[in-house]
Amino acid sequence: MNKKVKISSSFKQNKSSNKGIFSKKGFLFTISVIFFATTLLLYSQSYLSVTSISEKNIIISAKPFNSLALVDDLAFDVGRILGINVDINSAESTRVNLVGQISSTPDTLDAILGYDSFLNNSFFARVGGSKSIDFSGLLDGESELFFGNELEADYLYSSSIVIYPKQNATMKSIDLNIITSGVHSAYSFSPSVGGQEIQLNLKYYDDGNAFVITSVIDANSLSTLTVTYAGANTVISIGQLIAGGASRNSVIKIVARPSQRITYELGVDYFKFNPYPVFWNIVLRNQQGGVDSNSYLTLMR
Amino acid sequence: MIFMKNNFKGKDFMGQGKQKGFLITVDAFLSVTLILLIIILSFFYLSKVTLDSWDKVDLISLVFDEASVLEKSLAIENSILQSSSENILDYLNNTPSGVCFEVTVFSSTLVPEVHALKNGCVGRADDVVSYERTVAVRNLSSVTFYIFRVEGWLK
Repeated sequence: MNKKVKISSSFKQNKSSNKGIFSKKGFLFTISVIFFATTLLLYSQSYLSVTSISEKNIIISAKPFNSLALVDDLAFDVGRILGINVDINSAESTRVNLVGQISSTPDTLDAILGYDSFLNNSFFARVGGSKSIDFSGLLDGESELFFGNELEADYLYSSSIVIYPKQNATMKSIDLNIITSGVHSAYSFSPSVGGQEIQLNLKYYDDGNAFVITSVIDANSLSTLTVTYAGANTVISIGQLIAGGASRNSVIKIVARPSQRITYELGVDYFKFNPYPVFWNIVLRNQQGGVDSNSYLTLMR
Repeated sequence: MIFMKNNFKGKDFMGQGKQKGFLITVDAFLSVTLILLIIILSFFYLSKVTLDSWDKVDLISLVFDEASVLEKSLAIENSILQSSSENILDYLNNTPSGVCFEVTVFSSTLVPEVHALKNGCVGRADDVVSYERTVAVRNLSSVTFYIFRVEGWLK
């Protein structure tokens, strides 16, 4: 008990004598707490600001997806309009698969013009930004599909398709299925042999009959299959041909009869080359959300 | 801090002036209020911080991919030709369970033709990613164009 009184007394004495010191300490303590709290406030403000900017940048960084996705969408649609489907497999060789139709119906030019009108009047207005598309490369009666700088496929509407190397792509083998209407009266196959040998596996089906050709032919000279119908012939040429304005090797050309539909399933193995990007001869201009791009409609990258 | 000051100065204001004590109390009250205000403001700012942009980017990517798959697998085209959403639902119901998708196909005059909502997705989240693509449907005599919209949100 005495001890307690002593402590209390001593404390009171200290209190009295240290009054000035406590007053100063209290003031410093107050200032410190206010300083600390203000720092907390400023820190939380700046953290919010920094994270907002960072989040905004992350979202903005995703904006080019829009442009790429638009190109992907339109490129696929063009393939559907033209009736051409492309696939590529690369392993020891580069295999290009091209499945499509040569047909006079639906009218390809009408369909392209309809698509152009649909995009400009309906679709582009909905997706925002400023967009324009140049279909002039397809409105000359022929569409061009490029496989990097190495290969080109030209579809002359309702008439023919030709696939040719522009630089060094060289064929190894060809698998070709042809399905068409009509009944052929005869066919003749004149292969060229020697030189750059390629394996040809061809199956031909029409309403009347079917035949198979398996042969080794020369990629550097001309081999021709002519299927005779009343009034006109279906002609398939492989090897050295005029294509893209020049005489080239390793060319494949399928010419349909007028007003007849041909479905072709073509798989060509080439000695390995880089076929990417695969793109149509159509240019899309897209200005949206800080992205300004001019690009060909690319099917594969 | 303020209570300490009151305690140690208690002798003064009890003995010499109630006015000084009143001022000290007001001072203490203001200080506490100021600090509470600062802390509340700080928490307010911190509560506004969102770190979900990568989720949003992932969602954008998922929606774009899903739309691309639906078109390239011809699910949209077949749905239009059959006037049925079954083809689309086959794909939507096999997407990750944490993501909801809704697909609407419009004609070129913007009339809804086909609608599909993934099973188990009823309410919508606040943050919905919406993306539109075009479809060209080719038949023997003509090519018709449609717009389809894919909307996605996280459950």
